[in-house]
Amino acid sequence: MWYLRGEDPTQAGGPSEPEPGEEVRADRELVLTSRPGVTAKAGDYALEVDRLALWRSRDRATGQETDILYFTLTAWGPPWQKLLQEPSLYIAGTDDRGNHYDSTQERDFEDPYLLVNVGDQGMFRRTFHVQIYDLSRGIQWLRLEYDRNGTRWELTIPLAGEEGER
Amino acid sequence: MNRKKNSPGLGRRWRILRNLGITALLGVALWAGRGFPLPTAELRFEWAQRGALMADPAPLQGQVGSELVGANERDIVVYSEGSWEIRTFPRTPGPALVPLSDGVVAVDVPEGTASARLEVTVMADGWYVGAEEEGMRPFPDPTGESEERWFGKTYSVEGELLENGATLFQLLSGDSYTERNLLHYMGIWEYYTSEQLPYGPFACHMTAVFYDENGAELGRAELKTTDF
Repeated sequence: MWYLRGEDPTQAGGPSEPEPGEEVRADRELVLTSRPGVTAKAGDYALEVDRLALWRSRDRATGQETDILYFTLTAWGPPWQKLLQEPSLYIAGTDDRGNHYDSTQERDFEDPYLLVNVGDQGMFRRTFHVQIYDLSRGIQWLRLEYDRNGTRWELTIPLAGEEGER
Repeated sequence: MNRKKNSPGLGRRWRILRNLGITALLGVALWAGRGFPLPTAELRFEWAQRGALMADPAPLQGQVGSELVGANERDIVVYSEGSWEIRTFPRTPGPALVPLSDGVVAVDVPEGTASARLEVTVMADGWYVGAEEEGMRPFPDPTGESEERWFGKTYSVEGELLENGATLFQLLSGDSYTERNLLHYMGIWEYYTSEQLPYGPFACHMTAVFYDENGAELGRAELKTTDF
C-alpha cells in the first residue's frame, strides 16, 4: 500500500488513527477525491489516471499547510510484457500556473517532484502509485509529461472540484 | 456409428474446427499459466525495449547469460532479463564495445569477422593496488596529475562470435581479490561516461581488433575510462 499505514487515500474518511504512543505532528484533511479517468497512449501501452486524492496536511507546531496529491496511474498493455518501472521514473509535471514538478529520477530536491512507486499488477495492467508533496494550492489541472527515447506523451489531470467526493 | 452418437449434428469439418479451437484455448491457458513467456531472446529483447517505451527498439546482437545486448545508431542497449530497466551505453560509429559483468561485448562487428582479439588494461592507484599483489605491474598515473605509480594488469583474450552477430570477450579473474575487484570496476559504466568517479580512482583502456578468415584486419574498436 502506498499511503499512511495502508489507508487508501481515494476513500473518503481520512487517514487511520495514529499508532499507540505515536507522536502526531500534522493534522490531515481530505480535500478532494475523484476518478478522473483521463487516458493517454504511450507506445504500445494505454495509460489511465483512474483514482486521485488530494490531502492537506497542517503542521501542528508551525501551522504550515502542505497539499499532497496522490493518484494511481495504470498502464494497460500486452500480458507478455508489462510496462517496465523505468519509464515511470521519468514522468514530470506542469500545472496550469506553470509550476514544474520534477520526475523521480531527475529531482533536485529543491522543487516539488513526482514520487512514483510500483503498485499491483494484473494480466493486462501494471499500476503505479504517484505522490506529489507540496502541490501548488488551488491549481485547476496538472499535466503529466514524458519525453524520452523517442516516445512522448502528455496526460492532463483535472483537479478542480468541490471538497470531498465528486 | 459411435462418432455420430458422440457428436450429434456436427459434421466432420465442424468437429475438426471445434477440436482446433479447444486445443488453441488449452494452449493459451498453458501459456498464461506460465506467465506468458516469449519463445525467443529476440522477442524478449524487443518487447523489453517496448516496455521501456523505446520508440526504436535495437535488434538483438548477442546474449551473455541473462544479459541481452543490441545496438542502435545512438546507444548499445542492454537488458538483464527480469530487470526493471533497460540500460543504454553511449557508442561510437562502427564496431563498439560495452563492458558487462561477464566480460566485454563488441557490437556491429565488421562483416566477415572470423576471429577477434581484445587487449584490456585495468589499473587503480597505488593506495588500492600494491606492487606486491600477484601479477600486478606498475603504470604511470593515467590522469597525469601525480608522479604516483598505479598498478594493474593487461589481458589479451580471444573473442567468441555470438549467434546474433556480437562478439564476447570473456575475462577470467582467477583467485586474486584485487584482480576480481579491478574487473568488477571495469564493468561499472560510470567510469566511461561520467567525469565523476563512482568509486575510487580506476582506469581502463581496451582495444578490440577484428580479423577475417585469412587473418587480415577488418577493423578496430576502442573504449577507455574518462581518466585515460
